[in-house]
Amino acid sequence: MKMLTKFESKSTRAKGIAFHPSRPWILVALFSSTIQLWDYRMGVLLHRFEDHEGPVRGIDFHPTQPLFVSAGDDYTIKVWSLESNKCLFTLDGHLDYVRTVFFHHELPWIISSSDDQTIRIWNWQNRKEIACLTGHNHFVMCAQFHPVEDLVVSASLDETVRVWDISGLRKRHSAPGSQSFEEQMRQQQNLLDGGYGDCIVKFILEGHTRGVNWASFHPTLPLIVSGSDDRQVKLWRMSATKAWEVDTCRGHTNNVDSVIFHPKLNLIISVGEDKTVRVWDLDKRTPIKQFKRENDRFWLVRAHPNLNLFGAAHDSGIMIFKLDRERPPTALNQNQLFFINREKQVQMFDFHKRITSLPYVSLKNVGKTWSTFRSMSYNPSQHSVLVNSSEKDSDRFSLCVLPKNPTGAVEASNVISDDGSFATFVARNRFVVHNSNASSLEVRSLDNKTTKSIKLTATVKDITLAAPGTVLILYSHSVVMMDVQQGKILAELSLKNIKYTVWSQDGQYVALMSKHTLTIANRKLEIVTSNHESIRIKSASWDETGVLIYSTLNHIKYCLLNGDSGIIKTLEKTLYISEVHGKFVYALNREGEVEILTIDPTEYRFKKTLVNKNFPEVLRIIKNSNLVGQNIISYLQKSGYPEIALQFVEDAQTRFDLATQYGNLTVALEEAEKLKNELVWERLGEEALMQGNTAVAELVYQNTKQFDKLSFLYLLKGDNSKLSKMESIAEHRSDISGLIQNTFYNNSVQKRANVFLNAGSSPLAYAVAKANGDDDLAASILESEGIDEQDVALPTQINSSTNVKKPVISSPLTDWPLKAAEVSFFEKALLGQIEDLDISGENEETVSNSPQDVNQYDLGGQQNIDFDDEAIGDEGDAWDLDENELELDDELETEMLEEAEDQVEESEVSTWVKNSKLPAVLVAAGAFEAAAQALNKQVAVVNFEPLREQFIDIYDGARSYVSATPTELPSIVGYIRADADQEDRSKLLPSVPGVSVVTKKLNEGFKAFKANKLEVAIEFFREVIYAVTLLAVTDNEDETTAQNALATAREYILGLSMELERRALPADNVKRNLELAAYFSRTKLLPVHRSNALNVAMTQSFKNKNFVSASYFAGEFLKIVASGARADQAQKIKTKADSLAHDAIEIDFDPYAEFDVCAASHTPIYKGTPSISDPLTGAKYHVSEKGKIDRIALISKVGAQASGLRIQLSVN
Amino acid sequence: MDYFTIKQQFYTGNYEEVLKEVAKFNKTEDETLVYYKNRALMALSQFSEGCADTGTLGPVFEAYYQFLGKPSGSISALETAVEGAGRSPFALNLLVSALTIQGELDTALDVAVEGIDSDESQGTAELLLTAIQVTLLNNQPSVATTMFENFQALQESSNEDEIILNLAESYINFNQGKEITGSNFYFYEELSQSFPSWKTQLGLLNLHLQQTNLPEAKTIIDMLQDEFYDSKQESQIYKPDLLASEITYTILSGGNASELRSQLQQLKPSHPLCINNIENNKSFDQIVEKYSA
Repeated sequence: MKMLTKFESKSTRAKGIAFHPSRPWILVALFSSTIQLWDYRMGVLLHRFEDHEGPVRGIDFHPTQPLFVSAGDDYTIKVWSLESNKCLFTLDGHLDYVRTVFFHHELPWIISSSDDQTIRIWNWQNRKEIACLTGHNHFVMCAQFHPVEDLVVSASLDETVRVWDISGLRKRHSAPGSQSFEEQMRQQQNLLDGGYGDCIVKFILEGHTRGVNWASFHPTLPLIVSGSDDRQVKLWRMSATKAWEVDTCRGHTNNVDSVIFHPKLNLIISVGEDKTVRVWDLDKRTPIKQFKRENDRFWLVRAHPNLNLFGAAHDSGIMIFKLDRERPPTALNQNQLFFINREKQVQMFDFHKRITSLPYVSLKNVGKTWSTFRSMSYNPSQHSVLVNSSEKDSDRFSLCVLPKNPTGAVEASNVISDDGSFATFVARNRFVVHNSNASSLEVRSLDNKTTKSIKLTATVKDITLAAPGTVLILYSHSVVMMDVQQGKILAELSLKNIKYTVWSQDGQYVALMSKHTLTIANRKLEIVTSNHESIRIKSASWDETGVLIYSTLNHIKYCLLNGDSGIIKTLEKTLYISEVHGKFVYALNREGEVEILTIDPTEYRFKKTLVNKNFPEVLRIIKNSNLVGQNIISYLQKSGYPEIALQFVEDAQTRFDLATQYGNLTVALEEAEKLKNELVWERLGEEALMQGNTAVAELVYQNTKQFDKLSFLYLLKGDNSKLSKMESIAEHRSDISGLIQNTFYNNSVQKRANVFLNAGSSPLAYAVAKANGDDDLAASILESEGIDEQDVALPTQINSSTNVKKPVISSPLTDWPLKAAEVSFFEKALLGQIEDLDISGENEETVSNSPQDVNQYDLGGQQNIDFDDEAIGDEGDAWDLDENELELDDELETEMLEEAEDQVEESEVSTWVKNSKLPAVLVAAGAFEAAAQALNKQVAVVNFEPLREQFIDIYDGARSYVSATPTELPSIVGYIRADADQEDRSKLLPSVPGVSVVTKKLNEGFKAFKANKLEVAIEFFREVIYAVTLLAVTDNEDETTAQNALATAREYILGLSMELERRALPADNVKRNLELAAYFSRTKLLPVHRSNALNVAMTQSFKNKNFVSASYFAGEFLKIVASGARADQAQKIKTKADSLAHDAIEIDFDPYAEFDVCAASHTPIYKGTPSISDPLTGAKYHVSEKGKIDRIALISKVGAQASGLRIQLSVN
Repeated sequence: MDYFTIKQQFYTGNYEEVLKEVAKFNKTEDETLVYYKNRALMALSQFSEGCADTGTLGPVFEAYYQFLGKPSGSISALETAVEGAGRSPFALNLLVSALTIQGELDTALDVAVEGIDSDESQGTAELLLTAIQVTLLNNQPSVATTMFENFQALQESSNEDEIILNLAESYINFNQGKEITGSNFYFYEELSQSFPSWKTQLGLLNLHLQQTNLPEAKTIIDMLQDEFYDSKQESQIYKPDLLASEITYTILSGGNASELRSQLQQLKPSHPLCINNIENNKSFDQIVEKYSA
């Protein structure tokens, strides 16, 4: 047994602890007067409650309400709210230190024990004390309610343990509302009297020789355990009337302060001032495990109400631990998960069938009783398991061969056990085990003989299988991959404290997990990605697409090879994932049961396809799933796929942002028009300009009235006409500076001069006019100002403006591609520019639970056809069947003897023949002649040629050839048996075609029929008959199916042959035409096909004015096809034909007479007329056809003596 | 000398790796190295005249090579060369191979037993492997089993020969239908994982066929037809066996195998499947004739 510490807190002396029933919280009552609330899973101090004066000793969570209670040396009991983190109220009454407080499991009661020698019970709802239990004559150190019964157990320094009956109290308080005033008064009085009558001492347990510090009830059994200053733990048993001491556990070397029963296992856990936690076997009262702290005395131990967790309070804080691992050991083998359940039984879960097997064996007697197995390994070849149990002093492993089938928890026999750690199978006949004493890795054979020993350098933490013959050795600071056959290190990776390893299904990647780190490495142990997890990582499995699905204490998450990870599902309890397939996660819980969870893989599949740039798939997922949310959008944006994110968004602003991010001006413009926002326009303008999209830029400037920019844009474009428009606009707007600007762009000198003039700056106007050679204007300015030209001093360097050039292009440019906004693949796909892109949902990977799609034509569905199989298996032939059989066997034996002349020993094929004489088996064995004889005797086959392929196929299908070494030698033959697992030689048979082949061919025939390929259909139906002829089935059901198939094939061949004949008739042979159509309609086809035949007969008859017949066929047709266009037509024909009611041509067909159709002449054989049939196909013939080859299957002789076809295997 | 890797690679059909490993030793006189080097060269069709002129085994390989060029001819030259090499197990192995190819299975077995029983330590396991195949081809599986068991009991098992013995055992198991779903299957599964090659994949394919695991068989067939395997040197040697397996697969899955059969007939008429096919057709002809009369 192992003690695994899960959490430790450092503080002053802790005297009390309490686990929250559902959250990972623990309350710690400190000697320093503080109460701490910890999240022990995250290791965070959530709150400190300070209201007590002096040490706090007792503490308890309410089982359902957000409340807790505390008590301490300030004589008070306080009830606190977890919602407000405030003390709700205080219960006063005790006259000395209060040692413990506990809530009642269902009633609104609190029980407290105090140094005032009393135990008190309080109702926390009305905040009243309802009982005071007196009797102890020293401090009461502890008092607790019984988990189900109306009992209280208390421990006192008066050296006794007392059990109290409080059923009276419950009775009185069960219906508080109905209490009368008198009753309340009485109750008050009763309380003043110390609650006598309500609570009575039931037993006083004497035996401890010093003060008793603690007493606890057993959760289910009538047992009490107590701990005392006499350093002993005592176990007591009680009945309805008495209680007695059972035994004492001795071992503690100082006061025992607290002791409890393990909630699930037969264990006692005690703590004491000798600084130890001790675990005892409840049944034997022997010590099992002891844990010692260096300096801290333990004061209290408590079990979690639901989980396998314990808390212990000591001098410098608390520790939370569990006893033994809860992870069920598992081993995967293809679609099977082998695991060990809580009862130490080996079970198997089948992922395909989704069922858990019965136990194979119980390993109760393997390893130490109280130790669970650390790990296991499965060997499919030997069907055995290796289990490892780990103890501090010694590690042991056991090799146990499992029984072939799980039949229940039988005790494991023939178990090999030995010292050694981490035993793991590495090959079908080898396993490795770590010998820690010699610090070596030993390769051992299945009989535990060491065949190789490899020295290892450091302390090994674990060994896991990497590939056949290769292991991963987990050291505390590294992981090493080693080929154990050669003892060669293949790769090494520095990683700390790796605990678990999981290989991807293709063996290319390994997930290496420590408590808080998940690392993915490749086969060479090079790190691919590494993620830190704040919550402990528990397990992982790769799904079939190569995504790692892992579980932490409370989540299922995924991790892609690029490190992207996320939460898929929240877990309520810890699970160990063992397999992920599609949307199903198969996980073991701590009870050792397989749970199947459903997850939504869309998100990680989507991200994975995105990472792999598999855009068609991305598009498919978008179209076919409802992937939404801010999360995915920001992910896409961050990963540089704004164009994909755009597909998910409707919000205009977000769409605009995304569109501009990747330069999609169309969408950006669309959204900008909706948004009508300055900033948006501005950004759009910038982006448009960057791309050189002048049209959009123009639109933006127009919309935002940025005239200067607009003018400049026109200038750039060389758009003079628009520039001049801008000029007039500026003038119109009286925008002087804009106007001047435009005059520059337009080079309109006169306008500029006029502007200056109008603005009162005639010198400038003059200068402009003069410089540009407009002398008239210049003169007029001078004139209006009354100045002579000579008075004007112009700068010397004045000349006409040449800055504005005429555009060299004839028309303004529209586009100036600067930054290409390429259409991504994704958009192309959206625009339908990618060929062969199938984004329909059909490709979606779905996990199909159903078996292969059931074929359209199921033979079972033909049960309604009344087959006439009188000729098949006729009982009347039985007497000569036996005779034939004997004869056949005799001949066979001789033949086989001849064949086996030069064979000294019994070969595989001779065994087959020995075991069955079915023609198919004989063919598989290569005894062609014997098979031919059998077929001749059974069904009078004489024309074998059509069966050639069948023979050869059956022979070849029962063999396979493995390459020889060296390769130039002939390949070695191996045989394919009907049952690969068959060990009994008397039941060995070859693999020969079963009924499924027949069904398959029949369906192909139907398909050809439907397609109106009648010759092809006939060929398929013949193959059906050939297949049945050389069939081997195992039961009556299959035999019936095969016989039915043969009869169906016969009917179709007969019908189709007649139809072919009809179609080949000269047009003037109306009589024969009508007859054949009529006979065809009488063949026993599937109703849907028979309707075709009836349709032919109906139309032909009507066309040729045989109205009575037409009416009959129409009536028959309507029985099958009741509605639709064809039915309407038939109805019309029937009505019309009935009104005419005569036949123009007399034909040899009486619809109401019973007759068969001769398969050779295609004429009726009326009842009572002599006829013969074919022994194989059962087809009917006129007597004149005797001795001829059957027209249906073309292989057997009509009317020949035969014993009947045998196709059912009955092993001799 | 440690031949572990060489043998592992050779018996898993990774012949190019064998040559690389042999080259690492930089020795030309060592019989074992010469044996494996030349065997690998032959498997890869890279052996040519004058290629193996070193050591005592050289001439034997030369003679064997001549023989393979004309397998119906006389083997006296080979016999002489084997004498020259002191009838060492390695030399005898080549003689046994030649006799087997000629169909002289009983003689081949006698020669093999002579070598296995010799005091030589090198080459006996290899010879045993050949002998086991000879007995199986001769329909003497119980002789094969006895030989195998005796060899295992008498010889010190060496790590490097383990693969040879395992392979020999697998042939017996395959032929006898033993451990189809058990250790024989896992033997090939392990090999195909740790030494993926034509040979190991074909082995696994055969075991899947023996179990009629059709989807698994199909996966391997597809894989071997894929470019990666198809472009390998070894594809030429192993393709006929793949075709043979494909024929079996096709029949088991209800398809028509006649096209595949004629392909195999063209590619390697000496394949046992073709020989059986011819025999079967002959006896079928007789049946057709007999009953139609």
